[in-house]
Amino acid sequence: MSKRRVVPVVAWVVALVILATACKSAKTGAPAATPTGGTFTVESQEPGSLDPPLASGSEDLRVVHELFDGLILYDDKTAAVTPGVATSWAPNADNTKFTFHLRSGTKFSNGEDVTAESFVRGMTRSLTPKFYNDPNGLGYHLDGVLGAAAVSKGVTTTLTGAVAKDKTTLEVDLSAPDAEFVVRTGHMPFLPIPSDAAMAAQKPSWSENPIGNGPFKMKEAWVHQQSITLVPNPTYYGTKPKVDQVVYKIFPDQDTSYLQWQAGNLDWTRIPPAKIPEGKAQNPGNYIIQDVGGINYLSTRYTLAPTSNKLFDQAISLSFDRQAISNAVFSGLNTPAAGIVPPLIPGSQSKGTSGPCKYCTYDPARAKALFKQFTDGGGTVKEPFPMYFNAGAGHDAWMQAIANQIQTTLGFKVQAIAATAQFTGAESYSKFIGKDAPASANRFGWSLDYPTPDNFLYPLFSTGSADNKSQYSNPAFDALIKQARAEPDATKRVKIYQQAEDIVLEDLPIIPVWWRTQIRLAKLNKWGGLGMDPYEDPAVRTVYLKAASS
Amino acid sequence: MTRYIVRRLLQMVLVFFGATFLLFAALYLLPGDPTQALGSDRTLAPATVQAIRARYHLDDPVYVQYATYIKDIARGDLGTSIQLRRPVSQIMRDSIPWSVKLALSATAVEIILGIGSGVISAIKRYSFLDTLSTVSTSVLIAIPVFWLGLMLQILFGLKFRGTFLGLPISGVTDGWKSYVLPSITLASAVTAVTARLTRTTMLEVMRQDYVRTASAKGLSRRAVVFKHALRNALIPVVTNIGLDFGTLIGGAILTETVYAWPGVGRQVYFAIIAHDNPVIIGSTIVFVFAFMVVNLIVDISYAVLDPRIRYV
Repeated sequence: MSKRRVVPVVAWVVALVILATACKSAKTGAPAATPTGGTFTVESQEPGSLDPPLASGSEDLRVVHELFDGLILYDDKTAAVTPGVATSWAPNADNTKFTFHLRSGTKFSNGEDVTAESFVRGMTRSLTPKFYNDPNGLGYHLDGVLGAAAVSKGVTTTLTGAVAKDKTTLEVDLSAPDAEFVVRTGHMPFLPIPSDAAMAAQKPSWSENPIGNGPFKMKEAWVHQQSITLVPNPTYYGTKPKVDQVVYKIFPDQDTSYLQWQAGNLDWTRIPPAKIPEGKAQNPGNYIIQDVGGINYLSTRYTLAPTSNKLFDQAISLSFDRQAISNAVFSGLNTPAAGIVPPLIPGSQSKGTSGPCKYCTYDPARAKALFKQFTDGGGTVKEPFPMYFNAGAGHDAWMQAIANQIQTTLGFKVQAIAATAQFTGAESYSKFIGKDAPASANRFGWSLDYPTPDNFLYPLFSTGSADNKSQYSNPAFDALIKQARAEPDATKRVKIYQQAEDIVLEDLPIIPVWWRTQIRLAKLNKWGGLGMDPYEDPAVRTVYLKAASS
Repeated sequence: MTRYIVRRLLQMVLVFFGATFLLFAALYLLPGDPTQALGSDRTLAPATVQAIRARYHLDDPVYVQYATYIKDIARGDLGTSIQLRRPVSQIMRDSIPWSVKLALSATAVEIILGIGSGVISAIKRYSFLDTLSTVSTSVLIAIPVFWLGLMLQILFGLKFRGTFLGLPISGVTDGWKSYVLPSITLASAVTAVTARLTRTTMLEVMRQDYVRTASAKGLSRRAVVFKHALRNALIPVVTNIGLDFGTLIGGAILTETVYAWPGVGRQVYFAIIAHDNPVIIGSTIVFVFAFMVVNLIVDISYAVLDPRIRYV
């Protein structure tokens, strides 16, 4: 009996060992990775749209950026403007007309020629009411083009301001001077679009399977909630990508993708905030930390007491320790901001933690002195002073910390309040985002659309702008922005934007907190030429498989 | 029989209206404005907000919205997802096959493990194997699905990675291997019930006279257990498994989310987070339908399995 039992057990063990070794030898027997080619796998979430005029989300942008080349491109490292399809461009004397000279003979991935007409088509399409009135529509970036309003209101389908003079010459007329217009033209709503017939021919549809003129093209239609696969575009005019394909794997959340990274199945991924210390410790040399083009700030109402008094705003700004809170909540990842235009943006006055803001350090004594000046002048604070933030986005800990520190330093009650987007009532998101916002300091963030100081100053602080949440209005500031936009000389223009930034930093309608800093796990031991671009995405145009990686 | 089926189908229509109206009312009684969530940090222009409200009939009273909705469903139009910006019917067409496939393979796990351990427990009553199966199924019922999912991922996806026990963690791109962990996770709770039900009914049947007769006339134990006892004991078990199938299609929200499975359950999860009412209602309609259809099939199959049951 006992003998009989032993035999099957031995047989099982032998079988398992054979199976195990068989699997192993099958693995080592596979051809070793070649020094070029390879599949670069990127963690992603479901994009909103791959159609350029609607590609407003971060997941949308990163794919469309590789599928299309605009008139200009932004450098992966410095965010500087470099030639794209346009090799040169020139404004007229007062920056109201721009002439672009295009490369001849460049093609879409379906073989169709990319001409000035393709760009006119793209711009006009972005302005049509269908796209312009979409909540994710990016057509508003074209508002400055002559005749844009007529197209966006549906009056006409001809954009008078954009004219294809011939195949390689594009002229754009603006309704007001804008010296930085060229910088905008790398953005989504300016991208070239192939003919209607080519769009209609796409299976299953254009928006599932767009045709671009960029270094990559769609290998297959977007597999919703699973993956998007790009392969090099053989008709591309520029440097061909070195990888065989780029796969954006779509995950429901960052915990799932982090597991996949641990299993070795991803080359690039975000980390759930709570796992940042662990992710760094377990992947030495295989992560990238970088400041990107964005700022997190507290917006204070400029039109209501007490935040209308700059002494109060300055006192608040000086009364909390940005670095200590970053260390405690983000393991030091976020860099304290002492300006509005992020260091990455050409023309920024900030570098690391130093910058033009005179009230962005931690100085309790000065904060108390300024607050005393405020109360001596008759200023009062209704307690508790509210600080709103959007719930469920990881802002709880640091907003609470800032509220506590202001309360400790200045001696009045401060309350951090989580507001939800979905519900109405006292804690509603619209309550602090809208026109009826109370006198409070509220969390907001702003990331670049295009790398220029104007993109951080005009939308946030010019009188009447929809994104001017503090309802700031300063004629001196508005005049400087207008002056800068009309200034043809780049160096002088930057100086004017810096003056405008200084004005804002004295009034403090917003209180700078941190520059947007990002961390990504990236297999730097396996891939060369890999960096994080200004849009927080992997530089897949240059990435290559390192030789002799095991 | 035909009359019975017709009556059941008519009842299904009532259930359908009841379920969709309750859901509709519940969702729209919640205060809140989906247009706000769409803008994120950017303020939407009033014209844009107006366009969205008009497109989704947000300014009409609830009953008008419901009537519009039912009219559209009749045409096969489930509306457009606010978040994913695709027709809900298209989203459902993409995700239903994945949910059905997962439910089928989970049912296979349920049948093999549940009935297998139930039969063993019954014929080896009070043995070590019986206790083991009772205890382990109790533990399985007690473990929350998402936790089991995470543990299996860590064990088979990370610890055993590279060995023959290594399995894919998530997604559906690895062929049959992709199914292993999600199926076990999804089947975990229902398997325990099946195992117990099989054990009890087997024990009951084994005590019947005809089983004793079969043994007495000299049949082998195998023939007695499988040909005579199990076949009869399976009737309630099959019913139970059939009903479970409906639960598995609709109840896979946690499993599908943990394993990034592109099925209906995952759609529901994201739709709830994003306040995406068209998708929530669309998926619930799918669940309601799955339940009703499976129920009907199970009821009809009674008659087929047991000739003594007649419907009039």
